[in-house]
Amino acid sequence: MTRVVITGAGVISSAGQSLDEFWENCLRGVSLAQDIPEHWLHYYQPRSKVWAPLPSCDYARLGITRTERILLSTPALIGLCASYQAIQNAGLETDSAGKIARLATEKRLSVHIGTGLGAAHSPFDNYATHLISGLKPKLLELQATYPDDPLVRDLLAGLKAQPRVNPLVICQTMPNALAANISLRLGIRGAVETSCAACASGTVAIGKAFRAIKAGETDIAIAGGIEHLGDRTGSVFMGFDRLQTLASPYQGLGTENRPFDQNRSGFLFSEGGAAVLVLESLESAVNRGQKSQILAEVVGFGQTSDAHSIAAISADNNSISRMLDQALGEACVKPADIDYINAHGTGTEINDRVESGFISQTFPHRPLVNSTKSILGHTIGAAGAFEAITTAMSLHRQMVHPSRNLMDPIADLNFPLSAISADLRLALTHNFGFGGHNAALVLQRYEV
Amino acid sequence: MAEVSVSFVETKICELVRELMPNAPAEFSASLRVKEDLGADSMQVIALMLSLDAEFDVDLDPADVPDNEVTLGWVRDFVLSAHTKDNPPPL
Repeated sequence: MTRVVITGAGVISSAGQSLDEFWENCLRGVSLAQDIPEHWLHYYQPRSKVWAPLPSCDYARLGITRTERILLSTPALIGLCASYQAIQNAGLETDSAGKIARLATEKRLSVHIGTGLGAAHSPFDNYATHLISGLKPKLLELQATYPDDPLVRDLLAGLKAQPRVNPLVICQTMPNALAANISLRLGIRGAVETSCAACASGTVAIGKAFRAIKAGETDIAIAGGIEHLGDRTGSVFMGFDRLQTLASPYQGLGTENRPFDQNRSGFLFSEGGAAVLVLESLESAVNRGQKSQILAEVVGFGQTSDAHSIAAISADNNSISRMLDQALGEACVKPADIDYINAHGTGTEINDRVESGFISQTFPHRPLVNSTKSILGHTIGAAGAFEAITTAMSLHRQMVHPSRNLMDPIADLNFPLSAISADLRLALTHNFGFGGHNAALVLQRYEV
Repeated sequence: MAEVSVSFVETKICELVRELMPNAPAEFSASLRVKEDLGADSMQVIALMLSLDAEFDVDLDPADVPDNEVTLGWVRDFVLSAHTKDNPPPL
């Protein structure tokens, strides 16, 4: 049977723009919450007042050319950066054009990317430009009268001298563009597919990569999740806020995001990020001399749907149980074998209640449980991939990060409140997405 | 702001073309045809247009580009015509 291992990972996130920086910040349990931009309050008075913005990337340092910065959407750019980090981390060589040229002709490579909204901001920006470009002279008059008005300043900042139509708006918006740009840049000619399952997208993409390698359809897969909401005016933020899914003010900046806590009120809205892994057959990794680089082994995947609600998790746990049965069954392990669970852990009232109840009931032996979202916030389609990386690093380093802001737990689960060392052999990471998507991965410490 | 110089525009166009086109020239030559000589496909022509927009704030509509006839000299003259002494580019 083909064994599937993780040999590399790359990260562009609010918590760091490299794997090491991201992992260190997870262990430290840093706070990434910042006040939302003041001008968003001109459009709407939100319940939540914080977000986790994505710092600007040093694209040139990460090998992205000037013209790529002009032509590609931000999610495509951060996806490329994370992919390059991942293949470098995995020891995959590229030629002078940046392509995995030698391997592309000799071995089979594929791309599997999950995303929630793709580059949805691209048509939004185009539409907004159409609507307000004609008003630019009036806006300039207004700015002369009100030079410090943030709303006028913001509107003008997005307008060029003349109305523009971006001829690449379609090429940027289509959700498959993120995976396609990785294929184009790296010269990968195998299967290139996109998984769109809201907050479970990254998990599904990695699961499909795992299955493709296991079935012998590909040898090496670039897999993960990419999301950048490009939320210049807070429009996506406000949508989540009106659904009452975002974290409300609590006891000061950084305390709002409280997964599994009695005083939780929602998730920390992340501007986005990219988390990309290199999965490959063990045989391929060994043949490339990368055995010592193996972070973890993927041994199981499960995927189900609630068929219950477009946004709310089903309280009966039935679909989550079936998802877990699939994943553990494929891994040939029992719930009692799981040492660590990287939970979905959004911090919303119902999700945490249902999830913690399910974990209590199914895993009475009290494995370690934490929420990476307690630190990073919710990166939507990238979340599952970030959490797969966190889980792999936990198995590799035999450490787990704390669940931040957990003062009064809603269930008697084994939550680490600080970074701790642990003997971890098997771990579960799962995600539940809008639309009723449930997906889980079982990862195992790599042993010969 | 000073009027944009011909040599500056030619240098910038050369930089963009080197990043975008398969057969990029070492030096600017007005007679070089973007598709035939530099090997650009239709997407690379669009990429050049967007790059010119970003560099010089000029709006080049694909429909205005003479198919199969575009030379680097045509591109240079388009940029220069868009920016006179009274209407300099945002350099």
